[in-house]
Amino acid sequence: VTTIARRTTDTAATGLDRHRPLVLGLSGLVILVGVWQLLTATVASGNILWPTPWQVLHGMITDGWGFYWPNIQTTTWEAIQGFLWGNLLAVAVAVVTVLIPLLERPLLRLSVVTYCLPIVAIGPIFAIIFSGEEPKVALAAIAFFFPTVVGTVVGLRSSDRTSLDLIHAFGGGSWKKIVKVRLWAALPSLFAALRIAGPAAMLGAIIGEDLGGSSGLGVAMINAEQTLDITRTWGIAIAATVVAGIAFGIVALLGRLVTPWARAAS
Amino acid sequence: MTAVYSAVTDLTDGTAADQDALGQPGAGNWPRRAAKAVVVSVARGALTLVTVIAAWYAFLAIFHVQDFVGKTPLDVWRYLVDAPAGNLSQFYQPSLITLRDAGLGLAAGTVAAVGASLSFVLWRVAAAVVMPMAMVLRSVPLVAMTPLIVGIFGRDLTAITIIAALVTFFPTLVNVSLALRRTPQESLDLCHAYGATPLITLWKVQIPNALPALFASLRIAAPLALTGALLAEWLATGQGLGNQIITAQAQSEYDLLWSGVVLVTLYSMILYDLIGLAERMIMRRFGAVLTGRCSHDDHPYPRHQPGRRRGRPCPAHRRAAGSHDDGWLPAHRRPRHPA
Repeated sequence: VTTIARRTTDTAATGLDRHRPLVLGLSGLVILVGVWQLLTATVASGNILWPTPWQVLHGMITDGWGFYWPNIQTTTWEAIQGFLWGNLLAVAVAVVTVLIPLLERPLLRLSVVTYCLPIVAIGPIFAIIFSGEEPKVALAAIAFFFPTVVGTVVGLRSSDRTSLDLIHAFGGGSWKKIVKVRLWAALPSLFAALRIAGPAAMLGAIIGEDLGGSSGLGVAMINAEQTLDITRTWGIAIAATVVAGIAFGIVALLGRLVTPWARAAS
Repeated sequence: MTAVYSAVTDLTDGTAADQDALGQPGAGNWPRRAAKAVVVSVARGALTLVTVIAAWYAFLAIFHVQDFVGKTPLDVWRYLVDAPAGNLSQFYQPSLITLRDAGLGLAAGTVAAVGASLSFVLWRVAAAVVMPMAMVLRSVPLVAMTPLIVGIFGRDLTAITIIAALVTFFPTLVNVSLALRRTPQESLDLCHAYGATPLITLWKVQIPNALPALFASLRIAAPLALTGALLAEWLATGQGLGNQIITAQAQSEYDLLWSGVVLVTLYSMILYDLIGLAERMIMRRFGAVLTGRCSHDDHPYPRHQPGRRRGRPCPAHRRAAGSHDDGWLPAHRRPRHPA
């Protein structure tokens, strides 16, 4: 009885105060900025490597939209290209593993290898093989290849047994099953993987730019660091964070719109 | 996402054969099982090797890479092993440094993340305050913040450990605390009914329940920690494999570059597989926590005996289908007769 009572009060509380998680989450952000301010005011006061939040904000406003927007544009465009290529390839690989069981094990092991291949290590190789913005796109694509493959395979496998039997009974083969049932069943799990693919693509593009390039957030960051403009380095890091957060949010929103039947979990 | 990651274990290793070979409790037949396990893992390694080499050649061919720039597996082998000077030895010291950096980072990040997750269970408000931020920070290109961390903590081991730890901290924190929260309500109710304190509930129920998620996060985090260590070595300390690889690129020493990448990937995969091995050995101690996937509709079900994971219906579906399973087991798998 106590448990039931407790559960009821829990749901009542969440029902009444729907904005509580938002408030608590925002207070986390406020605490973070507060601790940062406190540290810079006490322990690290006068330390040139550790600017206060207000200095960083002021620096970002001084640099302005004209400085950030072209860099964000370059990096985001590379990340988007990488996102499309990497996910297309990953979904194709996942479909092949389900279509041809013989290839399942080699392909999945190969995906694990791409995951174990540190992007910092493969970056230089891409940099010497490809030219222009290609290495950044390739790095962005490889950064999330494995999670998308796993997400899609899990999704393809989790399809409803009865629906598969139905297709089978009407004479459909594995391809029909994939098109009519499995791909739809895979969507929620695919979107869960895509949510982290967006920020990962940004990271790949930024590391690609660190290795050489003419414009972009990574290039700007290296430049700022080399000219010892610490405030601007912080500003660029925050800008990269915000863009990655927006990418996460867009995919999450898209996932919710496309797969309204999926539970809003994790 | 956690579900996706914990499926990594099911998908990428643990064939029925090596599960049987490694997972049998009891002492009987150990030479046979050990032999089987060795054969299976050698075969699996060979398969991986063949696939990787084929993909490597295919990559070079598809993108028409020049011979001077793109090295084949054979080139790397010749450079590392066949060369008279013995080029392998120059990787020895940097490898040790990189593995130390990555190992420290992985350990520190995991310990911190597990500690934080446990305190979140006992103190809910902290979770509500920190978790949304952790969700956001997990998706932040933390490695891109290397210059800032170096600026604050200097260019020594502390900075490298912090960078590698940060990369591993957030995925582990999110996965483990979600798993701790997903404990079946029935188990929690049982603990409550017996008057267990939150600490005892945590120790007896929630921690064993979160072990699979912890291992999944560990193997997800191991390559990330290596990436963090390499990046820190490149941007901060100028030691280790990270620095060696970047220097090789700058000086157009392409044999050195490709060999370095091969070695790093090898370490990463060995780390990944070692964690998998540890996972299987430890999970054997928690037999009841192991889950199988029912071949009927792929739902998970608890297995008290380690054994085949897929391709077999759960007991309930076996009964419901009135299947041909008559309970026969091969001799070495039959339960011992109770006295």
